[in-house]
Amino acid sequence: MNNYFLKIFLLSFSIFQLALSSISQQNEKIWFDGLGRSYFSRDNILSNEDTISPNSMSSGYNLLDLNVHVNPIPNIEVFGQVRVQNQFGGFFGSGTEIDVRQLTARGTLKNKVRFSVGDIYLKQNKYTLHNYDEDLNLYGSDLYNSYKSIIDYENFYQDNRWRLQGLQVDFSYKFDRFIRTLEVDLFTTRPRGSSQLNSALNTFQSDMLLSGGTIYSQISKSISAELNYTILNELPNSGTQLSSVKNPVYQFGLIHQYSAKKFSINSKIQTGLSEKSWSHKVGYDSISHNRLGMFFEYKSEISKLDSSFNLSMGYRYVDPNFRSSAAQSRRIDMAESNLNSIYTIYSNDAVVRPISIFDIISDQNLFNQNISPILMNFNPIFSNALPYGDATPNRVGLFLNGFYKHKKKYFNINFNTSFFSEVIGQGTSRKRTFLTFSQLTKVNLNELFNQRKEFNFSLGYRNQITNREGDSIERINLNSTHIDFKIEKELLEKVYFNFSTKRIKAIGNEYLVSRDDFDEILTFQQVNYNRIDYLHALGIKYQFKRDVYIDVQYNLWGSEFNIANFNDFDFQRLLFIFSIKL
Amino acid sequence: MCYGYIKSNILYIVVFTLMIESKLKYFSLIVSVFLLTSLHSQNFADFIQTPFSSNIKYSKTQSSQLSFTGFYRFLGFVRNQKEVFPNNSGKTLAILSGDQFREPMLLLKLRGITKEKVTVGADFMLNSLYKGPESINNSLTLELGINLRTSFKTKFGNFNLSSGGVNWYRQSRLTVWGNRSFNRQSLYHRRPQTRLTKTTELRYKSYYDNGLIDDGLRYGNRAFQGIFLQGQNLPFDFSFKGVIGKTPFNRSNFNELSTNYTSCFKINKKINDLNIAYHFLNSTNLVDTISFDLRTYSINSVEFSQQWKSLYFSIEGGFGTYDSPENNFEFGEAIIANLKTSKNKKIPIDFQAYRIASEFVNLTGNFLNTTVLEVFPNVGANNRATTIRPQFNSPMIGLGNHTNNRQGISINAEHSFKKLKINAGIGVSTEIDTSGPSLSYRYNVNSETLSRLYLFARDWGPYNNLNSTYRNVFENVDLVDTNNNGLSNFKKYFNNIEFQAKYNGSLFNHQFYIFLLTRFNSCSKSFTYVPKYNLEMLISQLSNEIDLSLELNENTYMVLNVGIERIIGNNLTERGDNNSSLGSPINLIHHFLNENSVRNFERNQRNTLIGCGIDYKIGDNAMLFLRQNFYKYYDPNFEFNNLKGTETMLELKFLF
Repeated sequence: MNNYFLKIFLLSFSIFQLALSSISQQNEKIWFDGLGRSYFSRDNILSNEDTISPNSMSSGYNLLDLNVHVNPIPNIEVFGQVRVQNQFGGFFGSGTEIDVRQLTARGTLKNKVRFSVGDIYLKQNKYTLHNYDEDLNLYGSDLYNSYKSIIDYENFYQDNRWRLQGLQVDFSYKFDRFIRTLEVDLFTTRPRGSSQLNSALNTFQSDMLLSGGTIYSQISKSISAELNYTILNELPNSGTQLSSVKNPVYQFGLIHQYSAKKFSINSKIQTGLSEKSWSHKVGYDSISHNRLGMFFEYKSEISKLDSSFNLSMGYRYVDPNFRSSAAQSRRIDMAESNLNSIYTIYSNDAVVRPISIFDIISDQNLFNQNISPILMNFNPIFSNALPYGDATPNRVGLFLNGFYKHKKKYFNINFNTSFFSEVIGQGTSRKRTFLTFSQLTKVNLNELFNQRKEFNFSLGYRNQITNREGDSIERINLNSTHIDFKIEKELLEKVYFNFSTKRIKAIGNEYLVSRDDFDEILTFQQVNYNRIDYLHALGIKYQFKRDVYIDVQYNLWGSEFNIANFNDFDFQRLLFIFSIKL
Repeated sequence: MCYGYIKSNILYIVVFTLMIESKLKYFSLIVSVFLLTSLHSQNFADFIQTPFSSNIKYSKTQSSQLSFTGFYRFLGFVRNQKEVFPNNSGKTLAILSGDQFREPMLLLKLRGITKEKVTVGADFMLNSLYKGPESINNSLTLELGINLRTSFKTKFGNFNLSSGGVNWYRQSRLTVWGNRSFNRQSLYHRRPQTRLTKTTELRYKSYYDNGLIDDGLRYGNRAFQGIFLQGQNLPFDFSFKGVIGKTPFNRSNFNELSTNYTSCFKINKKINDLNIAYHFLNSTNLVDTISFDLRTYSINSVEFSQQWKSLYFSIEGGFGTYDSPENNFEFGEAIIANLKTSKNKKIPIDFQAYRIASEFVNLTGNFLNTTVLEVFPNVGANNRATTIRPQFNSPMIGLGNHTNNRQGISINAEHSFKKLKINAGIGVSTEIDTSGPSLSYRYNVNSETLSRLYLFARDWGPYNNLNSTYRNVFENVDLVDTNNNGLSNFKKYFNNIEFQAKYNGSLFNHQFYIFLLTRFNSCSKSFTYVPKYNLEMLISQLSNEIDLSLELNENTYMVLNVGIERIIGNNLTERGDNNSSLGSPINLIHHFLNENSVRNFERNQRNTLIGCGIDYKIGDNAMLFLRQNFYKYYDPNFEFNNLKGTETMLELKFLF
């Protein structure tokens, strides 16, 4: 009911606006923007062996996100986003949903303290609060950027931030002695509200809060320091759950910057602590599964000031017990309960279809928007070395990253290599090692041949090798190769033809970890891989500008498992997207 | 000074940091935030743009234009039933906000346009039932849908692309064309989409002058969702348009598994005044997701049209196929020809001829499907149990309308005698093959009133033969003469005459308009040249409606409407439940003069509607309309068909 009134309230602004401003949005106090999108897809099964699944499926929708910005007084803005979505095939109002998608108030108090209340997008440090990119994201390559932009938009992924709901303030000072600046940022949010679990038993889930703060200081021209703190905790009395998690994380870092005429050198050393525990109602004040962990990282990078070259290297140690829920939550939970939207069940055995690269690239419903208090599942063929990003626990090793851009824009190269090892073994004293090499090269053929219209290709490659020595049970050898290729040609003004292919091949064996509700390892499940995932895409895109485009694609995708547990699958898709950012 | 001041304030932060672990941490957080608001810094404003923030930095990036248009329309509706159908619950008085059709009370049409001239449109509708403050049975939804549009010019031509829907689309009479006839109708009734005119007189004056009513974009078009592409000014004078999408007839129970689509396109070539077009349409409805059984029909047609001075000729001919698990028609032909003179002739004439085979099936053309019942989807929407189904059983239709399994001709003409303008038409048509033992007809009088009794329902009423569509009702009639195949034992023949007279005069310097509309339809088992009102006909239908619009003052018009309709059936149609041995007279005037006049025991319906009202202009783009209807629906041979009552409607409409 409240939601309903919120919709009416937001719409009332629109009506009010009509009366005030001659039906134009150019009012200083209220203005609008938004996004419109049409999305139609048709999927077909190609395999003849599957006689149970539907031969084809189609889906689609049209949506409009209407953003209402109200500036009641200077420096204050109330922002509401109303989503109107109409399913393809729903006529005259049927299949229409109207929801309030975002509601935020923000501004500056007395021109000193900046605040935001409501839906906020937060990011701190990579070890305290960070939303890492999903698997298969090679340097943010734009090979499938229509899908990617929809997934990010629908899941509120902005700039590696978590979308949270709560209060955030920040303010800063400038000094004339001892230190130059002192910047303070504080927030408290509720990633999960209390809700009823079972009406018959009258049980409720507890509220979960995530709070934190940052103190950053520019001590001198070349030295700065940062202190980050977050705490995730469930409030036991707000629900009927018997156990509640608590996870404070502390991070401290020192940054040194040196700038010369043509280049700069930045070094950062940081360390931190974490604690994670569960308190229990039964046996008041009892604490269990208490886990203390730390991390340490040193990183140094050299960059040319014209941004044409960068090289960074470092060392990282993350303790096996380091837990930072707000930094280790994954975008995709690879648990079996996380189901694909397209052909969820397949084959004549009617089994759940495993998540494939096509699903990771295209299925917005697979993605997670919540902070998970325990480590989420991952699939080692997509990411085994750092499945939880830099904050992946139980890793020690070295890394080297870099990029180079040709002066005449003929090409640019990104590369990354790392070697990590486990700090302690899992289920054995033997430790896994992870060797990763990845690169993305983009060649601008139009620059080479001095053509005005864009013509380029890019090749991405990533190889990850996981090893563990030992006897036949301990031994692990997993080799995962990921190849991306795209060629793009501007046929007419802003009309691009493109072909892209993405392929992953994984051979070897691994052990999947099963954890309980307290993040403790329960069992190991041995898995053997000889799997190939592929996605080929052919399309025409009319790109008015970055956020306004029409994209028509043909996708051919599937997986070959080469083992008895799963049947192979092959599908094709015809896709139409028309997207407008207003 | 700054240093000292900050030192004290850092204390707050330290206190806060210490307290955050204490039991008062949440309270402390709030307190700390308020404490911080009292902090000062001399140079604060100078660098507030740069400091660290865990939150995203917002900026106003407005680059597009968004605007709203629409209307507010309140319809107060009261229906008081004096006589009701036998299954009435006892509720005879209905007081409603709106007349229960899904119509917007507040319509907000949003239009956004980017710098690149890409547009997005949506139409929000908001209704309130005004049933008291406790009632939250209100809804905010879309009236039609969301549309995205763009156009781009190239050296090969101009292209328009749109996606979404509902989009109103029209192509050709055999492929996609809305129900459209000769626009002979009473102006008394108002519909939500009826536009406001600048003056109250203008609606009646325009109809008197031009015979046109602006019924909005829907008129003559079909509702589509999908992707629309149009190309104009192409090389060699070619143009095209097409759509891949869905119509309401593509709705499915399988939801996302559905591969129900209607796709159609037109390629057009102009050679001087000659226009040649090729049309294609294909529609598929999934029957089974695994076997992939489909109900599908496709149409190929060619259209020629030519203008010779004041003469216009057009012809469209094609063939269609239909395939489903129940029926398989490999070939069915269709042709519609039209010859007409321009309106500025003394006696403009419009001649039409058509033949549409029973195998030629289409749900989106300018004709009714009467041969394949299963092609109508049986899917509900908007609280309706089923999809609205148009007339199917050998429809008796007005001039300008067509059905498949039928061929016919019609001619329409008009002429003016000073201020008296008349137009009339006559038509005859016949079935190509025998069809089911039934027929159907629409009411011309009281159709809106009856449709409001039971919205979008099939086979209702005391005899389960009424069917409600949008603001209309038709009735199915069973025939008793059948052959061994269960079909009627004869082909049916249909005759129509429509006559309209319009007069404009002045009474004491007050303008008035009188419109008379007579519609005479009959269906028989043998050919006749004209419709007849006797018991040789299976069904005879005669209706007369008179509208009077009188100017009271500059802003006010009074309107009066009288409608009388008689429908009789012969002994090949169902017999009623009147046990009287005499039956009921088919002509009340004859009966008044002679008690032994002809009587029947079958349909003998007498519909009357007397209505009066006021059109009042409140101000620019604001009008008020009042209507009071006295209706009677009565059949002495079908005793339960007895309705009587009043309807009062107050409509208040503002445009913005």
